[in-house]
Amino acid sequence: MDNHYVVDKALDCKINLSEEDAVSIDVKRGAKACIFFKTSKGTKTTINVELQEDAICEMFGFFKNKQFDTDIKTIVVHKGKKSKCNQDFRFVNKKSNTSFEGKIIIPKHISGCESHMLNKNILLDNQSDAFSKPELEIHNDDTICTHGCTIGALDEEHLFYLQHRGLSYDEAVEVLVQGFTHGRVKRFYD
Amino acid sequence: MLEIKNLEVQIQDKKIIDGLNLTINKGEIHAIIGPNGCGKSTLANALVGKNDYEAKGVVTLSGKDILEMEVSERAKAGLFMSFQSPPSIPGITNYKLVQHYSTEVQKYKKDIESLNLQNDWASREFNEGASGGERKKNELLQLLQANPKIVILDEVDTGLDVDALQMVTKIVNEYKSNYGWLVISHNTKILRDLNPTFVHIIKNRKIDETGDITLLDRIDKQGFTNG
Repeated sequence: MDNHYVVDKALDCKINLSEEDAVSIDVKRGAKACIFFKTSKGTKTTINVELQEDAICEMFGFFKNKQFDTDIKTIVVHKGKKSKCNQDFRFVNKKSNTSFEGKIIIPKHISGCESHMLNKNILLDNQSDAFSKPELEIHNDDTICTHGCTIGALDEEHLFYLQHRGLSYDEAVEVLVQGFTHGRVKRFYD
Repeated sequence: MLEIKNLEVQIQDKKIIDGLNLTINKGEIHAIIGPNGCGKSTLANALVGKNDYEAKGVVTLSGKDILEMEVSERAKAGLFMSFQSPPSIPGITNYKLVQHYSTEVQKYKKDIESLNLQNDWASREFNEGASGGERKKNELLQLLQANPKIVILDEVDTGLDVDALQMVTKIVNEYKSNYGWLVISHNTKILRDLNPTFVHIIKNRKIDETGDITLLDRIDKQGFTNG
């Protein structure tokens, strides 16, 4: 499938990614897009975003991967001044391998942009892997840009605390995974 | 109610507790005191079943052997520990975590009020953005919903200001007769305020001496070494 979105004013939607997918989002001058990505069987998807002047794009993808693999590539190009982008992709892997590669491009003559990229991964067993590769191509000094990545297991202290409050091990894992994937997201606008 | 017989606790081949005996009945406050590193918190952690704490001996709660139980089973059997440093956990609200203890919303709201916690406490994420004092109060709030048999207060005074300490003392006095209490601290003042039924000194990996509240006076004067 190839999903092409041209956003003139505002777009707020959920996109269910199929196993092989490509998404392109063209956010026009002053327009806003907010997209939540989902997948039910795993996916290999490239997401291309182009932002014109004053455009805003927010992308969230919280994937619980259970015995399937998820591979996400994002390429965000700030084509217009003062454009903003926020990406937050989180993976919880159980017998799964995932990969996140995110690229942000801000050309030399495009100033006043803001771009954030976050990728967090929880590995629930030893059979899971997570790969994360942030790439920032920033050619303009007047830019706010951040990226962050975490890969790890669930916090043992938290698991113990919840169990001592009467939750079984599996219930405690479920609560922590819920918190990880449904925790507060940073938004430009609420 | 809680009977500990000949308890041995090991962490990675190191014996921290060896041959500890203690019986706690309903309505009794047992203060455990001792120098840093003597095994006070190890005792608490072994009782609630923390990983890495290998416990041997016999520990029964209302006649049931708890050492063979999972952590959550021990909690359900009536063991409640107030943590030294309670964590914050995103994704679950304060109320959601007590719902499996009790669904008496009115009591929960009343207890929030009497503990001077904020009105929206129930709907806030678990301890997120909460101060040390609020976290300890949240432990007490959960205790009152859990209504256990045995309460363990581990380093109850850590991170508490004077007002919060008074709150702890008030709660313990008010609910003294409902539970059996095991209070761990190295602070004789807070223990004295709680008016314990028994004071135990842990030394040489076991309870070395047991007395009443006057034992605290001697510790204040002479320290642990002269006991």
